[in-house]
Amino acid sequence: MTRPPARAWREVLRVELLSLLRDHRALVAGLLLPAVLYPLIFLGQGWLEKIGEETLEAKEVRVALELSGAPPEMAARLVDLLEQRVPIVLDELPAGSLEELESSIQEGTPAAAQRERDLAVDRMGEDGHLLLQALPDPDVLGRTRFRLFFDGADDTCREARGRAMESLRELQDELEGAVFSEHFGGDPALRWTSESVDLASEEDLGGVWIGRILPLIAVLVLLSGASYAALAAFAGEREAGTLETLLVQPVPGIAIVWGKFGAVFATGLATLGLNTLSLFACVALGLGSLPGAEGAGAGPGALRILGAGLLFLPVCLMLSAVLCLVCGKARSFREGQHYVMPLSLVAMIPAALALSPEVELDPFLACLPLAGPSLAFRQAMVGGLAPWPAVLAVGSTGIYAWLALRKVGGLLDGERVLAGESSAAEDAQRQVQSRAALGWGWAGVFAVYLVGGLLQSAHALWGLVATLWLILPVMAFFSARGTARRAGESLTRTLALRLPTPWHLAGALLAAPALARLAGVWIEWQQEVLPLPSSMTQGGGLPALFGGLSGPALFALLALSPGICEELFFRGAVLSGLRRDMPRWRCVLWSALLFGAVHASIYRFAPTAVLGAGLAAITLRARSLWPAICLHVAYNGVVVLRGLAETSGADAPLAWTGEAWVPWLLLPGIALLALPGRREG
Amino acid sequence: MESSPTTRALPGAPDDSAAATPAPVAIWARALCKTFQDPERGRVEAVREVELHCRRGEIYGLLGPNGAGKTTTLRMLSTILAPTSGTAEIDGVDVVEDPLEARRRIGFLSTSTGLYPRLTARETLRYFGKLHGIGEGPLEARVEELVEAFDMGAFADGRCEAFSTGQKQKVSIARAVLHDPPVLILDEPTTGLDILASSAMIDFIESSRARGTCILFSTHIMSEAERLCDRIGVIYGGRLLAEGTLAELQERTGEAWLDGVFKALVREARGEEPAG
Repeated sequence: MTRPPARAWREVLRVELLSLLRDHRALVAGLLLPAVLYPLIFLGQGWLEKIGEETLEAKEVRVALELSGAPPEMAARLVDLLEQRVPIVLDELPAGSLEELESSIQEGTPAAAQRERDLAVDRMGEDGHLLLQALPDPDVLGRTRFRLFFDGADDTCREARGRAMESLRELQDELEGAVFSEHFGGDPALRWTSESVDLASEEDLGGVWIGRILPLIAVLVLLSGASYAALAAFAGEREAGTLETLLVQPVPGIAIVWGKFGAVFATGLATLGLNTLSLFACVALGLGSLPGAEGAGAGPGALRILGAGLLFLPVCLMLSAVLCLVCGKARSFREGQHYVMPLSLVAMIPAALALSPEVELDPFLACLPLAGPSLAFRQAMVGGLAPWPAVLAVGSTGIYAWLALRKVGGLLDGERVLAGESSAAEDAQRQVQSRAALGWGWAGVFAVYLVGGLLQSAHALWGLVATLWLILPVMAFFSARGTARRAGESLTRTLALRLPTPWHLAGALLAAPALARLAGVWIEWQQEVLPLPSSMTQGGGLPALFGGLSGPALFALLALSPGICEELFFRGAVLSGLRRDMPRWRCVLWSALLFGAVHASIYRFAPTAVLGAGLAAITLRARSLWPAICLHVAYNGVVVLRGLAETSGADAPLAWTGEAWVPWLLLPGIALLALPGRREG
Repeated sequence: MESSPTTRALPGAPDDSAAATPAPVAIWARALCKTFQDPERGRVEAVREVELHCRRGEIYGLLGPNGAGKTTTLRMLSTILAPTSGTAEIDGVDVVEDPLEARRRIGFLSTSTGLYPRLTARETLRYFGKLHGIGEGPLEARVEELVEAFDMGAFADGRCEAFSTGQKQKVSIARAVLHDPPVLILDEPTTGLDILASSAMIDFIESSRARGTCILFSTHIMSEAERLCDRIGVIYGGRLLAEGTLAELQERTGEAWLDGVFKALVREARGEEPAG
């Protein structure tokens, strides 16, 4: 990299920082939000908890008592204990007033059950919350049984029941203790006692939680703060028409880029610093405590934080450079925002590895962008930093930062800056389709998360059927209808439902078993890096979840349905909108991201995203949706039927897919899929 | 340097020997070409073999419709874009070999030129002055001189985001002439301006010519070209169809008005019969 003239880049840096400091939005995104994030979280959480507790504790509960069935001393002590749980009003019912209720319970018929409810409500009183009845236990002589009648749908009734249960437990402990002391001098069943001695220092205890959570928050905060600066410095300047003026100044382009990069880096650093300071200030001032280290003081010391924070310095450099690259390619602020959002989502994945205690820092992960420094930071915060992986993490991140900076150096090449120039109106017109498609894409992902998740938690089978055959097709229809109307074409054309070529169908059928095998290899490898939780490895997966279904039904549910419905939405409707005004590579990337995201699992993200990218590329090449549907159905079919055979122990109907030569089918498959599709009619 | 860049003989430049005291050539372009690779249209020849020269104290108008290649030509001359082939010199400095030195001699302004919304007018001028390497003392003096010359005193310390179109235009012009360049390149400088601002821009162009500045500007407004230009180049489809004084162009085409001249030249380029 050429060294830029110092005076020029300092001047650009000064003006960029001055502009940011005068920009309210930059101040909010870069300084205010990171600074108040933790105070708001801690104060808000504490306030809500307090309000909730106070509201219920302050609430007066009314309890009707009929304790004639208990020994008088026990009943008297229980009343004492209940009276301590103020505010409480106790209404003692006359002995025998619940006889009718008791006979209804004994009767046990549905009509009696209804009568029992009516009688209990009646005895509880109109403004009563609980009816507590004591009666001799019919099973054990001399034991008392307490019955609590309450309305489980009412918060106050539940609070009344809670207070009564606390009193009963206390009563039980008192009675038990008295008996043991009297006869045995203590509990004779108690064979051992234990005492735990935590050797971790207060600093280590505080560091455990911070080390896990802070890398992810730091990456997000850094991205949110620095991205505004990058958008303003590159995309915003291009939009405002000042970039062309800068390019005719007698200053090398690299000096301008360095100045702008410096502003982005400084903003990111300030954001990160403020956010971290705010966290420790909150803990030190007692606004909140670190989970797992309650009462452990202010958490890790300043020296440890500083040391661990240094590990994040190359991350800040790298992300700032990447943000400059991304925003430098955008023609407008809005377009830049479209680039930054997926970048943030992708960046979260490696940073989130630090959340998982099973993931350890090894040489491979140390070299993985963001994952290495995040895991090294976690180690440093608990005082157990392994030197070599840490050096590897910092070194590799430094190399990535340097590579990104090299690219940033050539960002303001006039050819590139002006090549894609067009009027704002043209831009707006051109981006309508892709913006709408992206909106629908994310709406689909969240609809599957929220509505689909709700339906599937209510009923796994029919929930999945509704998600696939209702949510996705409906969204595909409305999304494609909008695209078709704007483009003035038919719905089938928008959804690419035109006849495929035979070679594309053959290519899809050849590639599917090979891809399924390769996905298995990937998962095995991933298992070493990112171990699957036991809940996912045990239980046989989805086929086992629908164990009552036959093989063909499972194929229809887990292969045919997703193959058709997911393709209709992701490769039919969404991709169709994207390709109107995006280059193919960006369409493929978006398709991969959305398809990976909809599977809602960090463990399945990589294979599903790669599959999504491949299916998008095939659809664009073939100009037809059918090869993608064919490949998706066949791929899922192989996975489902093999999974079914493994769990049932039966002979696999597709045993040949386990042969060593199967992955090689990918080569002729790709060759066929790469052939051109039918010409547009 | 072997000879002064402003006085050396340029190969292919017009012969000055016949003129009494010819002003030196400040902009000179020979066989300038620019080709783009457009993802939708493929290879696009935006500028083809354009040849032009402009002397100090002269206004040269590049006349053509939208998409004719005016802006691309001006961007190559102002070093923003590199020519695909051909050469160009600004005040004797090759735009490809020494773009930074060429930029020191250019004041560039276009309609799409914006201002930093959060800087004041004074801060804007100081910023660009520093990028031109002007020292603190001379820069302050020059900024004050421009503030006075363009009557910006009332708003010089206000942020540009709050300025009217006219005020913005004044700041933009002051920014372009801050380093007192011998060459002004103006890309459609009056497009989108109201009548007052447009008139002020025309006054500025005329006063710059009077100070001996070489002015190359593009326009598609015929009346503006007729009023201002000493020489006019008609550009269409990336080619310079003809150039000369208004009288020379009228004589060549037999048309009385510039719009007629333009249409005749376009017809000629298309190989069509002259209009009856």
